[in-house]
Amino acid sequence: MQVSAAPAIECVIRAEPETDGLRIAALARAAAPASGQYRLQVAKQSASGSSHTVQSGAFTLEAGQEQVLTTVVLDRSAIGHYRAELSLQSDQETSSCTSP
Amino acid sequence: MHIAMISRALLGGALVAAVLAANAAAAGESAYISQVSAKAGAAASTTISQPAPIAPSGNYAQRQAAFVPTPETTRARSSNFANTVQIGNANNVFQAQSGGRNFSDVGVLGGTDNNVAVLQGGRDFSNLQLLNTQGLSIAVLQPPGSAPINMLIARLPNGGLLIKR
Repeated sequence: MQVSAAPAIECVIRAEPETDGLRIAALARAAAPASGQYRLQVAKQSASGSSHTVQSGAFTLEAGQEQVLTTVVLDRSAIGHYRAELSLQSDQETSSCTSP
Repeated sequence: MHIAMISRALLGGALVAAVLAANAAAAGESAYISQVSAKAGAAASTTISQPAPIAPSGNYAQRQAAFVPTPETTRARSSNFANTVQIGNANNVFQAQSGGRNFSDVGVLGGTDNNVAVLQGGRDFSNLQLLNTQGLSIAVLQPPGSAPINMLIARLPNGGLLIKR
């Protein structure tokens, strides 16, 4: 998990292995109210095959709020064989982060 | 909502164009099978907003291994959710969700060389399960607010193809 350096809107990708798979959640935090667009891309390549997921939409954050923007769940074969990239774009700035 | 079984060759660059077309409007018939009316499509948003199980009604519900969203998977109602389970070999799954409140579950179990694409424009629900299929290419195109799709496609021991909704 890598956190962007931009302080106003914080971009976080949380990857959590679970019993049935790998949960990848895209989160955003803001120090001040903010809104904009997000885009999450998740690619996985393993023995069971390949998976490519692209999700986009709008977000609205309140000050100090952490919000799950979107979620991707992959089977456990994705652990160690995936790459996720999240980008946030608001009126003030653009932030992005990747995982792993 | 459109479902198409198309050749593998079409599942490449055509997907980007397809999702754009799906978002803009319901496309013409040609290669696709139109399944619901606009009125039925309007009901989709109601269904997806509820955490209640979404599964075929009637006799199908008891026999089909339908995916039932749990409260956990539906907690973020304003966002998107995509689940991909691949247990097989060399299967490819592509999912594109724009807007919000999309839910997609794709399972490719025991199959090989299958290609699945799910393209959702917003407020859409899709549950597609492939069992023991080989070389099958399936695209699910859902413009915003489409009726939910819940489909099982399985290769039977006698070689037949079971398609159950």
